Amino acid sequence: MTEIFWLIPFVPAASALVLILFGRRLPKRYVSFQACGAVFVSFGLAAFSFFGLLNTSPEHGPLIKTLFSWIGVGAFKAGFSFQFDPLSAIMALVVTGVGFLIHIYSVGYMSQDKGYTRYFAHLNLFTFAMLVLVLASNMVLMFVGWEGVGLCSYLLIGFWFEKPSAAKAGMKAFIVNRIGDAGFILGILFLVMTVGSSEFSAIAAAVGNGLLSQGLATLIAILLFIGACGKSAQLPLHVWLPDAMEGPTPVSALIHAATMVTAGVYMVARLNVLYTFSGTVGPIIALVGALTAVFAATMALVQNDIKRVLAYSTISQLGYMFIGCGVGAYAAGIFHLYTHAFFKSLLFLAAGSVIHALSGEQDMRRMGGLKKYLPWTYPVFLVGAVAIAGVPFLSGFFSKDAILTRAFGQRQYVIWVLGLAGAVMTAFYMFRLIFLTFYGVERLDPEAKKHLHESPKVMTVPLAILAFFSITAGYVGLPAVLGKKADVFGRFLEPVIKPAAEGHLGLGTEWFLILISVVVALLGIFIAHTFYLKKPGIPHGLVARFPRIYKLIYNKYYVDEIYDGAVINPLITGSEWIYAHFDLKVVDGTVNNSASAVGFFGKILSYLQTGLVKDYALIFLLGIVIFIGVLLF
Amino acid sequence: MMILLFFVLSVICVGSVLGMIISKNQAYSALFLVLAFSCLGGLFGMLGAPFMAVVQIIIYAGAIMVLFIFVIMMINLRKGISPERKKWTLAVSAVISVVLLAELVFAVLGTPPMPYTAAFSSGTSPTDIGRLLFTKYLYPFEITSVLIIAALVGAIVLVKKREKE
Amino acid sequence: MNGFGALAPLLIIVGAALVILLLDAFLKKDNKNYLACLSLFFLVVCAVFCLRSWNKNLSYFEGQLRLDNLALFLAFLFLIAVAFVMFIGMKYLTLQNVPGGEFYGLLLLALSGLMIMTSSLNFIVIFLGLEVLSVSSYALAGLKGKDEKSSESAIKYFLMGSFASAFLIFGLALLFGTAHSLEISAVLSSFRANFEGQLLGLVGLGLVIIGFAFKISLVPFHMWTPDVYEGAPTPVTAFFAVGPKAAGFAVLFRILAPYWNEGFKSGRIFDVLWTVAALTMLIGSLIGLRQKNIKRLFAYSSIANAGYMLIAVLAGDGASLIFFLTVYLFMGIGAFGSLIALSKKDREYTDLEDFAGVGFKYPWLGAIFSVFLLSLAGFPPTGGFLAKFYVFVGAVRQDLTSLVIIGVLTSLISAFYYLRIIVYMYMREPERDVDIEIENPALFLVLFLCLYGVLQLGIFPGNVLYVIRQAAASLF
Repeated sequence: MTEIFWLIPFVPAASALVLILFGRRLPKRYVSFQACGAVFVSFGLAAFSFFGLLNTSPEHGPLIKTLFSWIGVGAFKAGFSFQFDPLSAIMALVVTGVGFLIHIYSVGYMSQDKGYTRYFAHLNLFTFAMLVLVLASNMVLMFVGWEGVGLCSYLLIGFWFEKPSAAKAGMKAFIVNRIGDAGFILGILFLVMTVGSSEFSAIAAAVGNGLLSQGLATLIAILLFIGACGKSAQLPLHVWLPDAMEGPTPVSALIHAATMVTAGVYMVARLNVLYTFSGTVGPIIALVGALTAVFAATMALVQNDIKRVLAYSTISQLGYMFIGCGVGAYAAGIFHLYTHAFFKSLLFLAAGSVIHALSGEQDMRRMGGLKKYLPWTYPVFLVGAVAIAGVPFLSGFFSKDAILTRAFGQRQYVIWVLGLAGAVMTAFYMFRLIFLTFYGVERLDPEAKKHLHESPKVMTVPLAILAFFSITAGYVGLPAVLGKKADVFGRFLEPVIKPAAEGHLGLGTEWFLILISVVVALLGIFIAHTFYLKKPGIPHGLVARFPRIYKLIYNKYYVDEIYDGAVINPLITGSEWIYAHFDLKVVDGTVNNSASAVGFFGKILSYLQTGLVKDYALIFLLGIVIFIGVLLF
Repeated sequence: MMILLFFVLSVICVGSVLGMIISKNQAYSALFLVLAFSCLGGLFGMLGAPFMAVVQIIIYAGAIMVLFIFVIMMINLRKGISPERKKWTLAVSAVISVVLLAELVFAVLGTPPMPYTAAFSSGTSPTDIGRLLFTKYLYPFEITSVLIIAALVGAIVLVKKREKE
Repeated sequence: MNGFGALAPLLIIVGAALVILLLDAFLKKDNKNYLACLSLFFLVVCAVFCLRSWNKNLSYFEGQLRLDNLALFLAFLFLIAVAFVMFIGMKYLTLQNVPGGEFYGLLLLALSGLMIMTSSLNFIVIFLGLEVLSVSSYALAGLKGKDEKSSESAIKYFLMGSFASAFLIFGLALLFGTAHSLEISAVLSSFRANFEGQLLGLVGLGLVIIGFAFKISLVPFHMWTPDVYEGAPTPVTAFFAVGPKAAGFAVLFRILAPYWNEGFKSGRIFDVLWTVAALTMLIGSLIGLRQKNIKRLFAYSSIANAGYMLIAVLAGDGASLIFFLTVYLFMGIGAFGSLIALSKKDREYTDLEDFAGVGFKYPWLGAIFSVFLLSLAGFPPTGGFLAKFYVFVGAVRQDLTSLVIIGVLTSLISAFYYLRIIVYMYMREPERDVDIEIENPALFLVLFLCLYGVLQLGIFPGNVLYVIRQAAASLF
C-alpha cells in the first residue's frame, strides 16, 4: 500500500494545471480551497507512506517506483522513477506540511491581491517541483525538480512585476543560479560518464566497489557542491537571496527559508556516500558553511528591513547545515534543516503578519512598541526567535548543538569557533529585531497606525501550529548524553546515512559543550537587551566610533558592487562591443539609399553597394583562409 | 609551343577577369567576361576536352553573356556603380586573397603528381560524354532538370512580384 | 519495382510541385488554402512510400540514390516539417500578402532538394540536391510582396549562397582529382591509402565542409543568418531553421562519421571543427543577448544550436544528432508558429517590446510559446533538455569534455535570452497595442502538435529513440 507514495507530487501538479488553464473563471474561494486541499492531500499521502515506512524493516532498502523509463543512451538509463526512504520521507513531510500551513496563511495574506489565482497556481507548481526534487531516485530527475523549483522561484520573486526591483531581483536570482546549475549539470555528466548511471543506489554501489576513483569523486563532489552553493545561497553565490525578499512574504517563508534553499543541503546529504568517499571535499564544505554562517550573521546585525534580517539569517543557518554535512554529520545537517523549516517559516510568516498589520511597512526604524497591538503575533514571534537563538529546550538548540558538537568531535576547532561566533550573533540580531519591533518607543507612521490591526484567524492559526512545532520538533533528536537511543531522528535516517564510526566524546566534554552553547545564546540575548532596551545609545556610539566597519557591513561587504565591477560590467561592455562590430544592422544601411537605383536590377546593385554583403563575404573568405591554413600547416 | 599558348591564354584570362572587376561600366565588365570565358574555353581545348571547350564558348560566352549585355543595355543603367569601399577593406581582401592563393599553391606543390589513369582518358569526346550522361550519370542529369525548374520558378516569382507594384 | 520504389518519394514530391504550380496558374482562385490541402495529400502519399521502404535499404543508380533508414527517417522529418510550415503559412499568406501558389510550389521543390541531398552517397548528387534546395530557398526568402527587407534577404542569401557554392564545387573538383571518384566511400579510401601526401584532397574536403557549414550557419560562415531570418516571411524562416539545417548536418555526418571511425579523430579536420563548434556556440549565445527583434534572436539561437549539433557530429554520435534534429523541428516550428499567431493584417509583431503582457492577454498562446522557449533553453522535462543532455553525454564519453563545458556554459547564457521573452510576456505591462487575429484552426493544430512533440520527446522519448537508433545504425 505504501506504493502510492508516487502520487504525492502529482496532486499539486494537477491542481496547478487546473488553476493555470481555467483559473480565470474560477471563484476565489474555490481557488483557495483547491490549492490548499491539494497540498493537504499530498501531506496525507506523505504521512501515510511515512507510517508505512516505519512499519517496514530497514533492510528492505528504499521503495522505488519507476513510472516509465525515460532516458536511455547506450548502457546509461534513467527512469522517471521516485524513491521513498527515510530521507525523502522527512523532506516530503516538511515540504507538504509546512507548505500546507503556508498555503493556508497565504489565503489571508494575499486576499486583496489581484494576482490571487496566479499566485496559487505558481505555489502549487512549486510544491510539485520540490516534491519531484526530494522524491527523485536519480540525479537527472532530481535536476528536473531542481530547475523546476528555480523557475517557480523566479516567477514568484517577480510576482509583483510592477515593481522594477522585483523583476530585477527575479532576474538576479536566475543569473546567479545559472552559475550553480552549470556546476550541477557538469557534475551529473561526469557521474554518468564514470558510473554509467545516475541512480543514487548505483552511485553508492560505484563508490563501494571502487568503480569511481577518488580524484573523480572529488571533482564530481565539488561540481555538485557548486550547484548546491547557488541554490542554497552560500558564499560567494549568496547575493540573490536577500534581493529575493521582493517576493510576497509567504513565498519567502516557503521557498527562501523552508524548502527550496535547503535543496543543496538535501542533495549533499543524499550523496553522503560520495562526499564521505571523496574525503577532501568535506572540509571545504564545512569551511564554506562556517564562513557563510559568520558573514551572513554580521550582515544581519545591521539591516533595518525586517525581512532582510531574516534573509541573512537564513543564509547563516544554511551555513550551519553545510557545516554539519562538511564534518560528516549529515543527519545533524538534515535535523537542522528540519527544525529550521519550522522556526524560520514561523519567523517569516510572523514578520509577514507584522508587515500586513502595518500596511506594508518593512523598515524596523518605523516600528517599535507593537507588543500590545499584536497579541497573537508577538508571542509566536518570540517563540521563533528563542528557538533560532539556541535557547535550551527549543528545537533550534538541539539541532545546532548537534552540529557544533560534531564539529568539535572532529577536531575542526576553527569551524567550531566560527560556529559559536555565528551563534552569538544569531541570538543578538534576532533579539535586536524583537526589541526594535515589539518593544521601546513607538516610531510608527501615523497613517499606518490608523489601520493597525491584528491579522485574521486564517493567518494566526498556522502561526500557532508552527510555533508549537518550533518548540517540540527538537525532541526527536536529543543529544547523545541523554542516552544512546535518544537520537530517534538519526537512527531513523540510518538506512540512508551511515552513522560515523568514531567514538563519542567523553560525557564531561559533551556537557561542557552544551553549557557553552547555552552561555553563548544567553550572551547574545543579553547584549541585545543592553544595546536596545537598557542603553539605546550604545549602537549609535559604536557606529560613530567605527564608521568604516559599519559602512562595510551595511553595504554587505560590497559584494554586489564587486560583482558588478568585475563580472557584469565587463560582460555588458563586451557584448556591446561584439554587437557593434559583428552584428551589422540591416535596416540602417540598406533600404534608405535605394532611391538612386533604377528598377529591380538597380536594386540588386544597391544592395551590393551597402558594403554589408561585401563584409560578409570578406569574413567568409577569412574563415576559409584560416580553415584551410590550419588543415595545411 | 603549347606552354607558350597556355601562358598567353592564362594571362589574358586572369587579366580580363581583373578588368571585369575594376571596370566601372557594366557593359565593359560583361565584355571582359566574354573574353575570360573564351580563354577558358581555349584552356579546356588544350587539356584535351573538346566538348567542354565548345560548351564554354557557345553557352557561356555566347548565350548567357549576350543575354547579360541585352539586359544591361535595356535597363540603361548609365550611372556606373562606384565602389565606395573603404581603403582598408580593399587592402584586407587583397591580402586574404593572396594568402588563399599561397595556400593553394602550397597544397599543389605538396601533392605528388597524379598518375594518368583510365578514369581520365575515357570519355572526353562529345559522344562519350553523351553516353555517360544517359547511363552512369542519368540520375544527377535528371536532377538538373529539377534544379532548372526551381531556378525558373524562382526567377519568375521574384520579378513578377516587382511588376505588380 | 526496386528502382521505382526508390525513386517514388522523390517523383511524387516533384510531381506535386508541378501540379501545384500549374493549378495555381490556371485556376486563379482567390483562396489558396486548397493548394495546401492538396500538397498535404501528396506529402501523405510520399510518407506512405517512405514507410514501405523502411528497413529495405533500397539502392539505385549505383548508390547515387540510396534509401537507407537514415535517409527515410530524415525524409519523414522533412515531410512533417513542410506540412507544418504549409499549415502555419495559411494564416500568414492571407494576412501578409504572400503569393500562395508559388509558396507551396517552391516549398515542395525545396523539399525535393532536401530529400535528394540526404538520400545519396555521391557528392555530385548531394551537391545538386543542395543547389535545388538553395535556389528554391532564395526565391522563398524574397516571396513577401512590397517588403524591401524580404527582397533584400533574398538577394543577400543568393549572393552569399553562390559564394559558398563556388567554394563547394571547387572542393569537389579537388576531391575528384585526388580520388578519381565522387563516391563518399571512394574518397575515404583514397585518404586511407595515402593521407599525408594528399594535401589537395585535404583542401578539397575542407572546402566541401565549408560549403555545408554555410548552409547550417556555423561561425564564421553564419553572417547571412540573422538578415535572412529577419527578412524572409516567417513560415519560410521556420523552414530555413529546420529543413536545410537538418539536411546539412545529416550530410556532414555521413561524410565525417567514417573518418572518425578510421581513426582520423586526431586529424586536423577534427581540430578545426572543434574550434568552429566552440566559436559557434559562443557567438550564437553572446550576440543573441543583444537582440531586440525576436526573429533575429531566433537566428542566433539557431546558430548556437548548430554548435550543439556539431558536438554530436564530432562525437560521431548519430543517434543524438538525429534526436536533436527531431526535437529542434518541433520546437523551432512551434516557436515561429507562435510568432505567426501573434500577427494581424499587414502587421507582424516581432519586437521584444511587443511581447510585453502578451501572456495575460492571450493566456493559451503565451503558455504554449513559453513551453517552446523553455524547451529551446533546455529546461527539463521538455525535449530540448533531453536533446542537449544526450549530445553532452555522448560527447563526454568521447572525451570531448572541454567542448561540453563550453556547451553547458553557453546554453546557460542563451537560456537568459529565451527567458527574457517569457519575462516580457508575463512580467511587463503591455506598452503597445497588440491585437491579433487568432481565428486560424490550422495554425493552432500545428502549434498543438508541436507542443505535443516537444513534451512527448521530453518525457517519453523511448519509441522515437528506438526508431532513431535503427536509422543511425544504417550508416555503417
